Amino acid sequence: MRMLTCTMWVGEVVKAEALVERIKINLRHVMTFYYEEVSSVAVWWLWNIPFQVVQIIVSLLLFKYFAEAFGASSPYFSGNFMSFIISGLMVNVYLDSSLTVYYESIAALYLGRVGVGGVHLSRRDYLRLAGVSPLTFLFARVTWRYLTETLIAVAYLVVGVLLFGLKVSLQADPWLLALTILLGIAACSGIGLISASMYWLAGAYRGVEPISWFIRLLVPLIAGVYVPREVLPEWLIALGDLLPQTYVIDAARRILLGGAAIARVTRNLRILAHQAAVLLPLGLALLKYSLNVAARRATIY
Amino acid sequence: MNANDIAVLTDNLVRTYKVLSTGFYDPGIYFETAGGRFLYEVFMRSITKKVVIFALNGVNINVRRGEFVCILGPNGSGKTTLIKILATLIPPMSGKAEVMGYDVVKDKDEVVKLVTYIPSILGASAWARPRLTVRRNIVLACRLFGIPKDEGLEAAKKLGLDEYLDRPFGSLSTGLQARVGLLIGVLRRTPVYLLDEPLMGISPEAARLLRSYFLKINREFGITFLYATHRPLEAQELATRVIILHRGKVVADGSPDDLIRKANVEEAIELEMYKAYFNIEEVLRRYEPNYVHVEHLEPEAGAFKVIVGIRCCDDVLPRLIEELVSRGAKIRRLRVRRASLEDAYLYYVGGGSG
Repeated sequence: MRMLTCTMWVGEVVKAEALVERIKINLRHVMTFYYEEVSSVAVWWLWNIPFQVVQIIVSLLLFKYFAEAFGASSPYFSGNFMSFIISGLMVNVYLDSSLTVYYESIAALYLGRVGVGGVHLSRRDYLRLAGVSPLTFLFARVTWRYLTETLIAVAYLVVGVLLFGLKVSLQADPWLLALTILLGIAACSGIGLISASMYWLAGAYRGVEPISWFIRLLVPLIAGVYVPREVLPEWLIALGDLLPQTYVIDAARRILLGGAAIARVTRNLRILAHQAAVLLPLGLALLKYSLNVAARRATIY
Repeated sequence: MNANDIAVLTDNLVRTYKVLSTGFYDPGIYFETAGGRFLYEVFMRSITKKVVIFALNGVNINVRRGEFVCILGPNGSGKTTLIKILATLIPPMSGKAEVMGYDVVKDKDEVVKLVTYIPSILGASAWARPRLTVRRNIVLACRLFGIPKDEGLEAAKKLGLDEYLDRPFGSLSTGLQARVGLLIGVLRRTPVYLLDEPLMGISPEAARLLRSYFLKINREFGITFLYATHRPLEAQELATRVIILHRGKVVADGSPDDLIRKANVEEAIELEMYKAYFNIEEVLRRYEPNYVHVEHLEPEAGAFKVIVGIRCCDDVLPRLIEELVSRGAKIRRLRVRRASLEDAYLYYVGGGSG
């Protein structure tokens, strides 16, 4: 009996060691893909970061002068128009990326495959030959995107506080804000994964992918990024109620600007959790199915 | 044959592709907005008839360990599909394929460790990023394939890439890009090499270097080679055995000498002529050749190049020349040669195709 227990224990240790080794290898590959990103975009970033900051400043100046010209002391903005706009834009950086990054990563994975005959190889084929899981590549692409978007969000925060009077509440709970954004990312990622699955399921690479295109078109209007939802007609509010972005942006503003505690955003968090619970597994299942379709279809389409 | 001696085995391998039977009008860039092109494409594809084409249709091959086998066949004969199935990049529809005893579907993670896949220039750049320098690209590929980067850079120098290491990959000429593409394949030392027209687009001196490298590692380390090409003379130079694929089926399998013998083509008459304003193929077929290959040079000037494969041309040649001249054809060049694998190949694939 003791011998059996001992053997089982050794077996578990071996399994755990193999798992740790696998995680290490995958992390090494993730770092390689990060290195690839850094190498590829280093020049672009050197050019781009100053322009990104300039773009943020100019667009915020536009809102500032709009507000001065047309009066932005409306109670709809809680008396601070610029804080309303900046907080919305800052949070939407993550949500917008969640809608697009999966599709873009799938497109990068199958780079070289689409639109050619049998001889061409895609990046996915090369990864297969190197024994690297395509999921590792997708993970690296997606996490890298969130890392770079964090820089943009920080730029909004810094520029907002220093130049545009963004007033962050001293009572703001950063953990609660992070939880809200994470739930929002999870729910929006569900939509992003469904959009990514359309790459193969509906051949979306032949044109613009309509799911994320349509949602990205509506979000600025109906999710409360720029416009207080209270001024919208009923039917647009009802449409906005379907989008996770609406609940994330609303909750994030309450936490960031109003210092709201968890009790005041529980409803938003609950809805986001439900949306994530439905959209995320649906998106994953569809993406998995679409990749199987791609594998069966092989190079000729 | 002992099962342990077999490096590559396929049994009744079938692979089909479903393709559109016809094209449809492209609506142009204005349809890009609002997802219009997507909806248009989905609609048009849903109403367009699909056809199934057989890339491989019951392929059976056996390759012993250490053999250098060339897969020869015209364009679209299924060479690339076969190589890709063995490299686990494409699943077969039915049948079985094994590499070193491992099934390419069930044990694909084992199979990829045992094979090195070298594609032609067309596939070479999939892993390379055009904006990165050659050096960076090599370092990245080495990291993914688990090869020390110094080995990668050393091999690059041997392939004559040392002076291009700090240039962006995208700025290199086609042939140089192909060399970079080959590099990782050359570095990996696995028991089976799968090559898919690897020398396409490579200059003769680099091609010679690579050919001798392949032969060297085949002889010294007993590495098995499966080398897809549509050039019979390349196959004749490299292979100990040649398998000819045509329309997804194996039509011949044997050593180059065997194939030439079995094709019953001992000699070939090569003619280049002009002012041949008659059905040249019909005239040539009357001499009962094993095969006829007609190449149109300038049809309006009645200029053709023909190859006639025949067992013995001694009595055929004078009669043939006489007839062609009497019909008004002017003969520009004439050559009689011993049959090569090219002649046998043309016999097996039916002369005109490929």
